[in-house]
Order: sequence, then C-alpha cells, then structure tokens
Amino acid sequence: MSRLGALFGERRLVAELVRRDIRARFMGARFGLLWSILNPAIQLTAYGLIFGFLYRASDGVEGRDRVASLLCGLWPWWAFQEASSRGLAAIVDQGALLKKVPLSTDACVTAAVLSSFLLQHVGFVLFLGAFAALGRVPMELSWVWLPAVATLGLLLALGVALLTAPIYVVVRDTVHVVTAVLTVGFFASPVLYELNELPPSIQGVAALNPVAGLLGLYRLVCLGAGWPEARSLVSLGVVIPALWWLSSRAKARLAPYLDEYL
Amino acid sequence: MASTAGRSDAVLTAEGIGKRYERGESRFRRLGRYLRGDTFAGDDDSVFWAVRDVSFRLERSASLGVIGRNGAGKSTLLRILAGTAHPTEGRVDVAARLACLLDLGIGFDGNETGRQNAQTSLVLQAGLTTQEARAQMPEIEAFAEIGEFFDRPIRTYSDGMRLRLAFATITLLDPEVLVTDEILVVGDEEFQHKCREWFESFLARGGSLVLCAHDLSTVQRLCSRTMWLEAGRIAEVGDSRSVIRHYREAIGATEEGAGTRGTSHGVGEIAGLPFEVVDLHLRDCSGTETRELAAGATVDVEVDILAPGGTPHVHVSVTRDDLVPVYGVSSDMDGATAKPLGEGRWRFGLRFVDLPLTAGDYRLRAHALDESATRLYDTVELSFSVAGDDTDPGLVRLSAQWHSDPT
Repeated sequence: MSRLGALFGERRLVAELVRRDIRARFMGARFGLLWSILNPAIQLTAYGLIFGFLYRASDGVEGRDRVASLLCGLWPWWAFQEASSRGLAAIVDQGALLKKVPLSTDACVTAAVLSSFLLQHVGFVLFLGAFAALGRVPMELSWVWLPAVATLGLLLALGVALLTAPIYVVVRDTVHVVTAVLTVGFFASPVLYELNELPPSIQGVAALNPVAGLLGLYRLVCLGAGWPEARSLVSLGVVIPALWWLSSRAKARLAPYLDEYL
Repeated sequence: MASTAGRSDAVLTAEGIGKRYERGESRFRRLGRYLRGDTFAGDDDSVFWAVRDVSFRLERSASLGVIGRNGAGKSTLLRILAGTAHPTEGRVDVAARLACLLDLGIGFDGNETGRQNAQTSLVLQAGLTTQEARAQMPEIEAFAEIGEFFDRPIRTYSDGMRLRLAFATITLLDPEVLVTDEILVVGDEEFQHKCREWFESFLARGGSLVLCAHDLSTVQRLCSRTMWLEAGRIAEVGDSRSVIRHYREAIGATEEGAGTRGTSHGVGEIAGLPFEVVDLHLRDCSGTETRELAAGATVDVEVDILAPGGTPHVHVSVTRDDLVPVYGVSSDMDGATAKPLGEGRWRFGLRFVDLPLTAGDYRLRAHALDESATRLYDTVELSFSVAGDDTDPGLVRLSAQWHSDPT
C-alpha cells in the first residue's frame, strides 16, 4: 500500500507522463484516437463474423449476444495485454529521460500502463454504448461499477508491469517470455468464450486464472451476467497483491543496478 | 543512495561514494545474483571503479568545479549527485531543491516542440501544475531567444538551440543546487555571456553549483573550489586557482612525456614550412623563463622563426584562456625587424611593460608571416597565468583614479 501511496503522491508527474505518452502515440497521425478504436473494432467485427456466421454461434451463454460477450472479453484483454507490454518496456523507453532527470521508475511504468488502459477503455465504453443503443446489450445500472472493475484490471496489469519492467532492463529476453505468456494467456482465459462454456472437467482449473475473474466481473457489470466463479475472484484477489509484493522485492534488489543498463 | 535528509548548513554532501561496474558475467547470471542479493564473486580484474572514495560538502552559495581527463569519472560522479545513478557505496545527502543539466539536455523528447518540452520539464522537475507551467512559457521563450523554433520539434534544433532551451528552462526551475556539465561549450558568445551572468547572479542569490567542465577558465571563473578527479578518485580538492594550476602542470607533463606537445608548439606544428615558428619564450625581467606572472610585471617575448627563403615577420597575440582576444601586435606594423641568427633562423624580441592583465589564465600566440606580412604560415602558443585578486572584472586593469572633485 505504501507503494500505491507513493504513486498517488506522484500523481501530477504520472499525469504529465501520460499526456506525453498519448501525445507521442498520436503525433503526426491525423486521425489519432480514431485508429486506437478502429483497429480493435475491426478485430471485434472479424471475431463476431467468425462466431456468428461461420460457427453459427450468435447466441452466447444464457442467451446473451455473442458479439457483446466478445466485446467484454476482447477489449478488456487488449487493455490488459497492451498495458502489461508497454509497462514492461517503460523504463527502457524512458531511458533517455531517466539518465538526465531523477524520476521514479514506478511513475514511468504506471504512466505507460495507465495511458494504454485509458485509451483502450475509451474505445470499450464507446462500443458498449453503441451496443446498448442497438439493443444488443441491456443498459444496466450496474455499469456504474465499471470504473471499479477497470481499476482491478489496472492493478493487475500494473502488477505485471512493475514486476517485469526492471527485469527487462537487465535481460531483454524478458519481452519475448512475456509475449509468449500473454499469447498462451489469451487462449487460456475466457476471452473468446465464457468460463462455463468449457467442459466441466477443466472449469475448476481454468477458474484459477485471475484474468477469468476479471473478465467475469466485466461481463457481470456490463452484460448483467451472473457472478464469476468464486475461485476466479479469490485468485484475482490473491494474485494482484502477490504481484505487487513480488515487484517490490524485485525493485528493491534491482534498482541500484538499473542505471548501468539504460 | 541519494537522500534528501539535510545535514547542518551543507546543501549537498557526498560521503565516500563509489560506483563499481562488474565485467565478465552474463546478464542472466547477473540478474540471478541481483535478485538473490549476492555480491559479485569475480576477481579484481573483473571490477572497474568509475568513482571511488569521493567525499565533499557543498555549502549554500558555494560552487564546486569538477575537472579531470576523459574517463576520470566526472560524468559518473555528476549523475550520482543528480540522482540518476546509484552509488555502489557511500551516500549523497541533498538538503535543497536540486536541478541538473547534463549532456546539454534535461530529458527533452526530440519529437515534441520546445514549448511542450519546457512545459513537461517544469511539471516533472519543479512539480508545477500544467497551468502553472504554461504560465511560465513566455519567460522561457524570452530567455531562450530561439524565435519561431520554440514551437518546432526539438529534433530540428542545433546543439546551441537545444542548450538555449534547456538553460532557459533550468532558470525557471529555480533550483537551490544546480549540477551541470559542459554547458558553455556550445552556443554563441552572446549566449555564453548570458549564461555566465546568470550563473554569477545565481551564486550571488545563494544558489550552489557543481560544474564539471573541460573549459578550465570557466571553472576558475565560476567555482571557488575545484575537485580534480584522476581515475575515479580525488587527486586534489581546494582553491580553484591552485588546483587548476596543478592539473595543468600534470596534463602538460604527461603530454610532453608522450611527445604530443612541446613547450612552445601547441598549435600548427608543421615542419618544413617556408616560415615556421621554431621557438617561443616568455621571460621575466631577470631573463628567467616563466609561465606565472605577477600582476603588472614586465615580460619579454622571444620568437624564433625559421625562414630559409626570406625575411619573416611575426604577429604576437594574447588571448584569454577561452580565446577571448586581448591584444595583438605585428612586427611589420611597428616597423620592427628580426635579428638574423644564421642558417635561415630569425629572432624577434618584444617587451610588454607593466603588463596590465587581470588575474587569470592566458595564451600567448606567435604567428609566422611572410616577407610582406600578408600570409600567415604557422602558429605556436604557450599558456601563462597572471597572479592577483581573482575578483578583478574584465581583461585588463586600466589606469584609473577616483577623485573627489567631479565636475
């Protein structure tokens, strides 16, 4: 918690780094933010067509719209995946700045994670609204809980990034390991499917995945789905603090050496 | 570790700081060792100390110069003081608001405009809000004097423009301690003058400065004390004038020993020229060769020119150590002639009576000219210093008297 408190104390610095990161992403691009929405939208449409037309599975679990379910799986996953990956590279990416200005590496990592999360959620919320307008998603009061669920996702991605970012500074293979894990994670997590669509024999194991709990919460608040598996919520509740604890240990050990590798 | 825990009246304290680099171990092994918290098990040959056993205290309104050859550990020391590198051993206490300007920059992003970068720097380093930072932009723009480039990406800037922007931003950060390096090596004379004035007023206002530079005259002018680093350790620390003199002697001795620079052949040593300076001496009134003059001393300059094909002329000039011209005189303009020594060798003698230079370091240059004094063939220089009160402003001490009866 003290680390979160320190980050809160650096909120002005983090906000400036987020602004700088977003400016850098869209520099020279006339349609800036539009691209960060359009590309996921194309992928979502492609998955929707594959499931709807190819496999004729337009109805999802409990009669929910399949594409709406995909929306609440894919987009939060993209947010998590992009935030984790960009957060991992944040210290190296900000190396030129860190060599000249004594900034907190936590602030750099947080800014990269936060900007990814914010941008992805702009697209997510816009599409959720569009789906509601089209009547494919019920407009529920539970949507007010979306910021809380997104915060959990942010804390999970931040935990991954804070743990891997200093390791990546020393050993650059880290990015390939994390990419491989995220690829496996994409298929092992209920992104394209819902947890209770899996064979009962493996549902128990799959529920130990903390991302399953996270995506379950997204579907709960956005689609009015049932509560996710208790095991997946416990896993989420355990993994987030565990990642933060581990990342604090790693930072304490690695921080004195990082400047040698930047 | 750098900390902000203050200690008495010192604004910056370094205690036994050292920075060690280890070699001969794969990154994977290193990562494992770091994570386990194990110490490096390699032998002494695998260890390189960039900085070792460096301790000092910097008081309020004091200035410390850091000098040394390339690789002496100056940049590493500055980065540790600035908090951008961790010392392997020792500690740094910072008890004041510290800003750093290293490698001509303060973390600018080349793709962003000068305005965006300056604004970001104020938020990141001074903790201002975006609105507060925005309000400071006109002042930075005025100080930097880079015109329309202020709103162009920094990647389009010259080194001088980049420095102008960085320096202008630093002035707005309002630091109590400034850690900086070769800041005055780029930029035009006018901006360098502006920077020097700002430094002087910064120190007068109670600011403290750590300045690392190869330009020794700047260090001497701005820093009351100087630390000379040699192979990562302090070789000498104390009064700037004295330390810089000893450093110069050491550098000169090394270079002479290596045969790279003779006592009177600093520039343009080209054998076989039709008009070539082969010797240059500076002697006091007793005829003794000297490089350290008392203020107001009378000195003789002796220049030998080898000119087998004709009668040469000579131009003798004095510049400050940073090459600001002080005076120049030519034999042809004064109708002076050389004394023939035989075998094409000629000697010019020139006396400076009551040399009115202020205290500092200077260069004496002799240029060999042809018979018509229209073509310059060769240049040789030597350095000398003038002792005296360091606070004298300007280059020369003009003859002036206060009187009580102004009209």
